[in-house]
Amino acid sequence: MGAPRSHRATSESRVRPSSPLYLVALCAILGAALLAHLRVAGTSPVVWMDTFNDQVEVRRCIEDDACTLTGVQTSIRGLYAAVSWLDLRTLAAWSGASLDQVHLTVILLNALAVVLVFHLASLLGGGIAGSLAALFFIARLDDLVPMTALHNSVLLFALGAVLVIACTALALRPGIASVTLAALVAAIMANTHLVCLVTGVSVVALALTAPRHRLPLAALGGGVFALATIAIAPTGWLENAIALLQSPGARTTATIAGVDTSTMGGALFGVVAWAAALGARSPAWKIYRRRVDGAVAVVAPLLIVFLGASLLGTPAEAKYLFHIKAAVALAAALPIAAALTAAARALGAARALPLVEALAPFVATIAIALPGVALSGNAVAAAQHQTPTVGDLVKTVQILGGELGWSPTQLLRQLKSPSGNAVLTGALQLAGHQPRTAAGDSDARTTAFLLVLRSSDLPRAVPSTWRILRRSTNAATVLVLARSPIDWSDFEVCTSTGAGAQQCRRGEWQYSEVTGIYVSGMPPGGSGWRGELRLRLRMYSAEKHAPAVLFLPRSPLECGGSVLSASEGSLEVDSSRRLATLDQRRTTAHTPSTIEIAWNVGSRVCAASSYAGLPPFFIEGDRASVGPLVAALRAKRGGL
Amino acid sequence: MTLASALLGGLPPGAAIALTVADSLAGYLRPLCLTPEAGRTLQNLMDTGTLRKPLADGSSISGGAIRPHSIEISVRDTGGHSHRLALALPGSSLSGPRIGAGNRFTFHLAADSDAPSAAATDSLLELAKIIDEAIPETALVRCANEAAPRTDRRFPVAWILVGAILQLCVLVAATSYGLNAIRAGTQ
Repeated sequence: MGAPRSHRATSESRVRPSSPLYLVALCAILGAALLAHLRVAGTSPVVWMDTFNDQVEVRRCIEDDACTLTGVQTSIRGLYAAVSWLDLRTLAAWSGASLDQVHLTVILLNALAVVLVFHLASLLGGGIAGSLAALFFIARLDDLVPMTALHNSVLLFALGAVLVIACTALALRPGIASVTLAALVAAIMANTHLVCLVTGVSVVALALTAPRHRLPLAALGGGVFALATIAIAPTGWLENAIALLQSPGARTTATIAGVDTSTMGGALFGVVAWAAALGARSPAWKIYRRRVDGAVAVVAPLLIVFLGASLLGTPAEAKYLFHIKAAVALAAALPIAAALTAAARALGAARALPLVEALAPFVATIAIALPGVALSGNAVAAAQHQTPTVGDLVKTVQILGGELGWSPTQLLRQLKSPSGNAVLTGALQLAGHQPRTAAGDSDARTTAFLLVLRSSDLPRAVPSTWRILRRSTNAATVLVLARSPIDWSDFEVCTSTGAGAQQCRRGEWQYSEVTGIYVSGMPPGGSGWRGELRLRLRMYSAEKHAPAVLFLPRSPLECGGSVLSASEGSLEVDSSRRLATLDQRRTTAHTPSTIEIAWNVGSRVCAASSYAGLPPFFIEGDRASVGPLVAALRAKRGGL
Repeated sequence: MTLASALLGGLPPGAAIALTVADSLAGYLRPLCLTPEAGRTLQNLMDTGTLRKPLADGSSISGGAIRPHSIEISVRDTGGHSHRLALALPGSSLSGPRIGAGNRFTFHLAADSDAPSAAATDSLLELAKIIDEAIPETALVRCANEAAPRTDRRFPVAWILVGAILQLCVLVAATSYGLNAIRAGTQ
């Protein structure tokens, strides 16, 4: 690793923020960052349970004048967070913003954050450092958290940029104003995501490195952070304190979503580079250290917690690194840029440096705008892009509720999607009221399937029962209305675990504010339940339906099952037990009155985490409508 | 959990006090909610005829409902009067005159209920006590945050809006001040 050789080397690389070329560079980077974010996140957020859970709180706050200062439950059971996020969501909703508009606002803020990080790094280390920092910041944007959805974590991208600015200001200009502002930003972040509690340590640690009044500044920073954090969410922190007192160590986090090597690697590199400079006594090294102190103070505490947790065997999710992405970008970009500059000087190319500094932002702009930089393309992110959006759901509810007159109860029973729970929860919210017990629902024989397919998988002749809700070059959201052979108002649920006997109950779709959506008799989702789940579904009599198909798809993120019923009469089950056909025309034999499907929850094809407490997704309906859908799903990559 | 039970359970005094305080605070923040098990218990009492025993001849149970934090039973007497008995968990926002209390619930007459005679009130109280004693501990959970009843500590929307605006101001101020300070600090 190279390093700045003299004070002159560092100070020469300062940018002139008021120069027209620099302003053009800022605008270019903003445009490229916006393009990259839109490419990753789209113009409408995907349906996501957290979005709808937050929306319940936002609505209750505005409509009932009853707002929470506790927040929503985190993935760590019993702990609550995100009051600041809910406050901002409430402000946006109160201003009349839709979910799509809030999503676009977050995208704009996150794009502005890229500009801020570029500007900050440019001020500290010149145009090359700024360009590298902007690139590092936005690279593999959706690796850590799903940027396609609207939830508290997506705001951490922008908040992380503000924090690193506040902390760098505190490092360079320690004083009452800088420490107070840094502590307040940290408090807002701690109330956006629980993991950001560590940012309070960053503020105190930085204050302790001040050349004068260390202890008073540290006390002020810690005090302001603690007071502001509690003031924003008093009942939430009381709740968390109680939960921790009642059962310390009894909580587990959700499963690890994957380790992000680029952010982790960048963080380690940044801290190591900073540590390597500790022993150096030259003014240039001191300046470098001082300038990067703020970023390292943000990175190091979390890195210690993260690595410590991993070593102790406590799951540490990669998403917890998201808020330090800006600091990592800065901590990694500054030493690299300094090394490159030093190398150029050593090679006698110092005269070319101003030109390179001026052009670097435009090279970065082009790189940011390239599809391969921001998009990570990992499996989870790819699955996100195959999830219907809130915009799709709005259209779905308009068609099913508005055009076809479906009641909320019908939506609950007859709308099917691989993202079942989130789609149903969102649809009921958009429909505007809770389901009532249906009496004489019309159209009870229709099942609606909401899916995202690859555009290339769309049939050449789209059946008349298909509605294309959204289409791009890569994907298409379809709503397929099929005549169902299954009476979803009457089915039986049987469960058995390894030790216990089989228990059967009548299945009934339920929804309440207390429980959310569930089906009576089915084990709750998210509880880690493992065992065999069987649905005994009543079929309409054969003469009433056209040739029908039933297909159980498979994918790594969904719960795959198989048909238990044997071929009988007009029912024919293929050898894979994933495809059944029902064709009364082929035989005069009777149609069975029920069909039985089983899922082995906790098995290789049905991970316990993929079971949501509702009947897992499968396709069923008249062959003309669902036949092309089955063909598309069978052709899909990933094992469906 | 009471302090005595915590101490008798073998906990050190400090931990027992902390746990008792934590339990009290938890009760303050999150009231209890009924689970579906309460419904099954009530159905069992109905099926076995236990709930009919305290009622006067000719009176009958005409309805019932399990809510997240209360149980409501409607009783119709021979005169055609309808009395609605409500068993409320602590923290419930039920209105209506309180006629008694049990181990877990307080007993109320619903506000729109016909005024019962003294004998009818005794019957209703007896009915309430049977239910109160029959509902097991396992049928009660702390309400999930989103499910908490109105008595969950809630704040007016104006408070939230002012808070949100203040937080936005802090973020803008921190960015603006920070960039200026950094610029000055790197000069």
